[in-house]
Amino acid sequence: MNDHLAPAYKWFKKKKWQPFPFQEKAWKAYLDGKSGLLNAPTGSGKTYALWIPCVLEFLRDHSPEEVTPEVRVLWVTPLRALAKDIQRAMQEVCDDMDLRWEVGLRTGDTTSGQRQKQKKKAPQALVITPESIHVLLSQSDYPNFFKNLKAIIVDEWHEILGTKRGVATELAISRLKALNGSGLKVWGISATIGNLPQAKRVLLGEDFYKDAVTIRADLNKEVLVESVLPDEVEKFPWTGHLGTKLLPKILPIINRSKTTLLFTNTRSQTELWYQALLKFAPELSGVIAMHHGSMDHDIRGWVEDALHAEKLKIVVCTSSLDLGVDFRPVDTVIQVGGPKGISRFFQRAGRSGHQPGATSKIYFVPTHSLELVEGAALRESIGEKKFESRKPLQKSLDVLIQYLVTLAVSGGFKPLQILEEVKSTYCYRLLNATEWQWCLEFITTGGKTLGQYDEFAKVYNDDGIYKIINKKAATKHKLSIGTIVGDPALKVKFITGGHVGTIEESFISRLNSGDCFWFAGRNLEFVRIKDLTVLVRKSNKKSGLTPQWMGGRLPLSSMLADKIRQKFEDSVSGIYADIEMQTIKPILELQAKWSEVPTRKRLLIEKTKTRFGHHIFMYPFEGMFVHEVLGGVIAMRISRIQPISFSISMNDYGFELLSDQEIPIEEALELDLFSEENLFPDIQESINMTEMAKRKFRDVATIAGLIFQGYPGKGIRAKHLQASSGILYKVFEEYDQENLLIKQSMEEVLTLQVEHSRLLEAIRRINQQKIVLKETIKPTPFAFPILVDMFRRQNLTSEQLSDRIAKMQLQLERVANKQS
Amino acid sequence: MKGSVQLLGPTYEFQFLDQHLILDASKAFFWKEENALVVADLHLGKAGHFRKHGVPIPREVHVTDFQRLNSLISDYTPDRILFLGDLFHSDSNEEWLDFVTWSNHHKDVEQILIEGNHDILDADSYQQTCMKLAARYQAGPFLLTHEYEESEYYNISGHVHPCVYLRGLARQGARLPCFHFGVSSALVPAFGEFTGSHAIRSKKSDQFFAIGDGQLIGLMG
Repeated sequence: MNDHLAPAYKWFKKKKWQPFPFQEKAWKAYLDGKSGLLNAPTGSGKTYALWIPCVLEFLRDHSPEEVTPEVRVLWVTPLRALAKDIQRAMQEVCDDMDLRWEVGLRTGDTTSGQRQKQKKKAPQALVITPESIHVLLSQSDYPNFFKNLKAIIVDEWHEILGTKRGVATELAISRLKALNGSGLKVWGISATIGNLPQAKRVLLGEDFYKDAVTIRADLNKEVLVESVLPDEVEKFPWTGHLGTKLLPKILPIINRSKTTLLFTNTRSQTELWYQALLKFAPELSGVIAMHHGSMDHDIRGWVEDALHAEKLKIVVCTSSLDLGVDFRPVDTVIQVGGPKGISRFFQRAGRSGHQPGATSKIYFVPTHSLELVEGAALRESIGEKKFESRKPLQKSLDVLIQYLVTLAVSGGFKPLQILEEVKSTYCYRLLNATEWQWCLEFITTGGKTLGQYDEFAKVYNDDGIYKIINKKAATKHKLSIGTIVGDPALKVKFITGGHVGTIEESFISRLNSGDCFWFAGRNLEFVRIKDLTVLVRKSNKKSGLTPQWMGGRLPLSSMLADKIRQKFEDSVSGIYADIEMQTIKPILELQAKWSEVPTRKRLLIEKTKTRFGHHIFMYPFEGMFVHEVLGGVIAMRISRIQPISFSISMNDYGFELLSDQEIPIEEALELDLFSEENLFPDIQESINMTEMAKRKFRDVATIAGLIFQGYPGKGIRAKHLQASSGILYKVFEEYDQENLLIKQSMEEVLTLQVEHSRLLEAIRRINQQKIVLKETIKPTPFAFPILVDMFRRQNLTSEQLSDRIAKMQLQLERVANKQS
Repeated sequence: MKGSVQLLGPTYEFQFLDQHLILDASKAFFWKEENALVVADLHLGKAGHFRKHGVPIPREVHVTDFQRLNSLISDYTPDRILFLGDLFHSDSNEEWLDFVTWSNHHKDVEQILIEGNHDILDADSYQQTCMKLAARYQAGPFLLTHEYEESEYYNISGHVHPCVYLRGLARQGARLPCFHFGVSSALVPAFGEFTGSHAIRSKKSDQFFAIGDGQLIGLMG
């Protein structure tokens, strides 16, 4: 055995490194033919733990001269931006060992020339994204291309698990296993999460996971959390307001570090912070850069290279720099705004201080003063080594439909054979015959109730083989492969040439020619849109809009939420153990004076009136997503008492119901507002009454191929095939109630978003709490962030539309007066 | 009614430039002087076009369109129907045959299609129907076109699928399809069920008739 490892030891010795025990364990397990899961953080040498045995396996079974063009290893990475770094590191190993392997790159950025080259002369390993595997599966010669595959290694599995990309990965693996039999090894690499055994089972599949091994890096890493504290706390915390005010305290941290990564929670925040830093410290010009997923990949590549080359002092970034290889020069990490989860925060902290045994330090910058409680909660949670679970998805029919069409494009599939493979995945292990049949019918006849659609052209059942004959349909499908649904994105380009990145159509559509906006750190003047490209020129103006990108914000994890509740409870008993809690003491005191500080034993409800209308605030501290559903069901139950319309807003701490009429909360509480009885039917009804399911349907419909987005920047849009998901939803709701994609959207609100169990736990907890209703003269410090943030809003009404419209005159009159 | 919202019922007789227009909450209007029913943007065959490209939209969508059209004909017994363009969504598909049947069934009513950008069928197709084609239709003070055209006449067009956004207290809002009468031109809402809509900006002195809950709602901008 050790003979087979010799080239690895030799290589490590040459590098003057000592292999970690976990790396040696992984080499041995792999060479034993095992599959498994490696639990190791970014920057720990995890790449060498699993790449080296792939090379060793070849050297064991072949002489180095026997290299033939065949793909032996797929290295799956979630982020194409960082694929290049991994490829470089993998290639280096081969070159150093004098093995003439080529490590190729296959992502959405790979040019058609490179793709053709790979087709003609296959590289021995491919660094690839989950989407690109599916694109390869849509090509007719894929069984031949993949026939000598020895290993699939999925990097950063914790990031993909729990998403539809994870489901797509499961499906791809099921197909590749069937092509290669038991000779194939499947490995995952995951940072520490709460459900590692389940993570292993999901990746490896029902057939592989039992015999597989788990290897832990167990690098004891100390993480220090330090909050950046404001000198004075504002009593009415306004989201986003505080952060940049703390610049005088942040700059010294940057100055005394070699290289700092400053993480923000959204791309918009990244743009804002980059501007604010440059304005506050012009001397940073030239050594400051920014990095987010909408920037052009060449620019991102430049930033990554400059990071490696120690040319940058600070990079303002989003989660786009969470993953991938190590940026060795980074010695300081700053997190702006609550990271919402312990695992994520811990992983970010690990971006600094990589040497084994070294301490990682992370600074936490609150965006409003109340958020400081998260700093205290995070520190304690990390100390206790508690990590969240990433819950895998179940039965995502949209992804299955897309996969089946993919196989239909590449020469067709036999349903029974594919069903068996599909059922070997964790996601579809409980798929029943009806659901499977529905999917088959959906892609062939358009669905059961629409069986008479003779013109429906997608997949044909050609003597037991399901395939696509229509070339156009095949091309359209190939362009739509993927499960990341964004707002239609437009390319941003200088009028003189040169790409800047992509921007969402919904933002650009609000601009007039001549308007300026910040993008990739530059102020750009919008000129016009041409061929799905936004043409801009540089602007010297100092002001401009900041683009909003969809998505991005994560809800508070229930583990962290629990910790936060505990911190508030401590403060009520007079315990202010953390500096953060001491700092926000004035806010808590004001809250106590006007109302009370919510604790675990009491559910606080506040009632107040402002010029906007009548407000009810509730503080269950369950995270934004739970509040969205809970707010909906509570509003729905109240709306049964009398015809009433609500606007519902929420943040991680609570939610608000706003109405133009007085809300009968006392009456509602007497009628047992939080009853567990009929909870799920009521939730379903409220989901129907709000936009929640409709919003999910947008993703579901796009993945299932009902909405053709075109390809970002490729300028392809199908003629006469545009319909918004809203219209499709309405049509299906009215004419095709059995449509399982509508049902899936509903189910996703309940599972993806909140998980049945978490919602039920929340209601149960509330039912054990004493309900306290406080009427306040003004919104309290706890209410204020919900009131002004308005990040997510939805409406629910039990009034007639005409009654509602009749009440809208006031507003219109005001507008009319203003104009005349 | 300036500056207010008025619920006007399912139909409303609107006197405008000495003409009498009966606006109907089913998103069409009857022009008394011409004895004509004016209907814009049906986008028939859109469901079939989607199905042809693998998106299973139920056929019933257009059945409803025909039913609504039929009840308008029996309500107003017009001499003619003016289709303000985008009658058929794209290339021919079998839903065209449904229209051929419908058209011949109503052969007593003059049918004029003012062609729109979606009307790409060839002349032969229309020969199976009772449809006459025209680029525009002029009578009285009005010029009817699919897309807005500047002329000496007051222009009435479709194409944009207009809607307005109303706001109320406590962050209430509603997005409603509408008729829009501006200074020199008017917009007619899209008739077809399977169509989207586009919010238009209101200007001073514009008049809107929004449609919601089977009612016309009069608004002044």
